[in-house]
Amino acid sequence: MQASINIRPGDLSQYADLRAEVRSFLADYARQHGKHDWIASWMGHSPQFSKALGERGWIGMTWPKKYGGAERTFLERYVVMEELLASGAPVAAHWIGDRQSGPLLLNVGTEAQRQKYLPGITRGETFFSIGMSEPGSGSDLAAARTKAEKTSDGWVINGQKIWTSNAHNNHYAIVFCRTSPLNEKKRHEGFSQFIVDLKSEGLETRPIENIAGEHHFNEVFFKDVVVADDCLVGEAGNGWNQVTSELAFERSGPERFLSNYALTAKLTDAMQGVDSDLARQEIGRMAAHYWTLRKMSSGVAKAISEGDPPNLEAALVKDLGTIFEQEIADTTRKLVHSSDIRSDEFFDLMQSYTVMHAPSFTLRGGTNEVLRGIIARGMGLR
Amino acid sequence: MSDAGKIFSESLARVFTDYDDTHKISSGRTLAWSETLWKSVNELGLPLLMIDDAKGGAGGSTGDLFDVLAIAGRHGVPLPMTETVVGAWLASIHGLTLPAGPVTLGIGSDMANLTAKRSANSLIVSGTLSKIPWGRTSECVITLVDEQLVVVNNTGHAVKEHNNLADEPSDTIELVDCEISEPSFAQAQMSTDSILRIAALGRAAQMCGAMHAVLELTMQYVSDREQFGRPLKKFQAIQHYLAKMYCEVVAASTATRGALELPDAWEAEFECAAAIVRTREAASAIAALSHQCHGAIGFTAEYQLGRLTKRLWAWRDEYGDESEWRDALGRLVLSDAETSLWQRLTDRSG
Ligand SMILES: Cc1cc2nc3c(=O)[nH]c(=O)nc-3n(C[C@H](O)[C@H](O)[C@H](O)COP(=O)(O)OP(=O)(O)OC[C@H]3O[C@@H](n4cnc5c(N)ncnc54)[C@H](O)[C@@H]3O)c2cc1C
Repeated sequence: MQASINIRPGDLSQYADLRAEVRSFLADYARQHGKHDWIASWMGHSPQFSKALGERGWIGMTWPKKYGGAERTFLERYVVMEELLASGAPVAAHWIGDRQSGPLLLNVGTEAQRQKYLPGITRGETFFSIGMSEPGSGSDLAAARTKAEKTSDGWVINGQKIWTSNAHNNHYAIVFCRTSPLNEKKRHEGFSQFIVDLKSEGLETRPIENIAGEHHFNEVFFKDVVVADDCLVGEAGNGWNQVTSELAFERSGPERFLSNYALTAKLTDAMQGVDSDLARQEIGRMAAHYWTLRKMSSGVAKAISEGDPPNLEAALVKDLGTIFEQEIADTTRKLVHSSDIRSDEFFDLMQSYTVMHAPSFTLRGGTNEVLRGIIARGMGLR
Repeated sequence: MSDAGKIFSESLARVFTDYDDTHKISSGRTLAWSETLWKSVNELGLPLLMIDDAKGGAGGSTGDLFDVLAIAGRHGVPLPMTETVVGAWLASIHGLTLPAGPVTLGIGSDMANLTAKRSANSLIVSGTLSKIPWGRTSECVITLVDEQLVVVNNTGHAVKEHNNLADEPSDTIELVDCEISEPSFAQAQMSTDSILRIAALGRAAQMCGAMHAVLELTMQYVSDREQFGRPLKKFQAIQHYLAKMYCEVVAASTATRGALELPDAWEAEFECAAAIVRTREAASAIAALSHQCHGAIGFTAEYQLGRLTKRLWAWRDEYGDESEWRDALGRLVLSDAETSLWQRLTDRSG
């Protein structure tokens, strides 16, 4: 096996000032606006919060200044992201644009597209959704059937997407479409990606209520939705390669083990001074996992900053990280029930939130079974 | 890692590979102490690895331990590797002279239970050294008593031979009014906990090497072995087990290397314990998965998997058992309301 058994962590110690700035920004914001919605973390959609963050220059931080970016490093971006996640701040509105739609446009978009969309993303005003999954196409993304047909002055899209997070709140979606007929021998060919305005005529968004009773994701129907030529992202027919590198960005961040860190913070605060074997054992194990995952995850950011697309490493961290964060729900439950700690309404709410959301951790962004397939391929087993 | 670490690990890899080849290592049984192998390792200058240039050493630091000890773990070398490097380093820091030959450590509450009396220029030490790795084949044991770092010469004491479950010596040595003269003891410049951290991380690095070897062996096995007309590696369940194993090896190695590479690693209470706990958890997972992938052959004394998995099982509980380390880490997090877990995670964010 050629692959290395080490991930070299990124050195984050040089950014202590930035970390302090983010912490004080978050404290100020929470003082002004309250923290009642700081449970959902990167599922929490708050245009107001995103705008405030954009004003600080903390969205699209690594992008060129001419598109509104700050030309900072991926490790600086990492520091900002992890501080936001650790606090539980509602970052969903800008998260997708910052993490994947923006970088996609930077990589393969036209100059005009970059100028049109990127500055709005960095200001925390323009929000993107991901239009990949369909009723018949989940893990098997190449089974997507939504199709876009070329017309004289653009493209016409017909079909259906599903599980589209925040389609009802966001401005655009990057929609993965079939643009040439399926060739069974080359299933991955003939796809293209389009920027679609979610208010387009012929586009209908219907809510799907999730298990926690929230309206987070949607069905999105396309009936003769017309998009202009300049909405095609990258090359027609190259959609599969593009979407694969977009997925690597989608999978690479610290949100894959910090989704519910706000609960962990609450728990470890509430447990202070509790003197039981179980508490020490569980909290000790938790600390060991967080510390290790963070080392690995900062290593992924470092690899990205060095221009290495870390597909394999990102899959490793996401597999380990999501299983670990899934366990937090149960660890918390065990500890709360076995010790006589102060609970409050917010803590109770966070716990039930995490219990209900935990199943999604190992599904969204590519299931852990799919990730293990990627790892096995990286190991030379497939 | 410094050049010293790189040069040592490369030379050691050659020595170990030659040794494996000449001894046709293919059995599951642990190898006995090998004087020849010890000589080659000693001639390479292994004990010098972490000793200052100024004192004639190689000038390496704890950051160099990972590669050197992982190589040893990967080859299942029957020598006190961690003990030799860490022992020589401790002796050098404290200006103590060591007898020529292998050294071992008796550090930690489960290992050393000693009392000392002071006389003019010597210490009179009594008590029990237990679970001493490679005790019977070592020239001396380095231990701590009354805040003194002490080199106990190994001759003339009653040694009760025990083995850990990997058949490696883990002996008990009874000291009765054993006189230690200067310069074989000195005021300890590090706490027991600090020394224990480095010893346990050294063991963890050996575990990472052993886990790597288990993974490679398992990869080979599932490529060669066929059932239902195809190699095992074609079955998705097997692929997923191997992916899981890979995740665990990378987690453990990243953690252990990360902790060892911190400046003054022995002071890093939180980080060292985190790496030690994570590595031990990985060892259990990897041993279990590798046996599942191997079927019955892996469960035989003859096949070489056992040589590695037995070490993993044994090493999980050396230099502090797994639950002690978890407990210590949990205690640290829960004992100081002023410092949040997040602060601890991000404080020394190397
Ligand atoms: C909260 C949430 C938000 C989401 N947001 C979005 C979004 O914004 N945009 C978007 O496009 N999608 C989104 N998704 C969809 C997500 O990407 C899919 O759920 C995921 O890709 C899995 O597809 P599926 O749900 O159809 O499950 P399936 O693919 O049907 O899988 C069901 C089970 O079968 C397993 N399985 C499938 N194929 C294999 C195989 N080859 N080998 C082994 N096991 C296999 C899976 O691992 C899983 O355990 C979201 C999902 C969730 C839960």
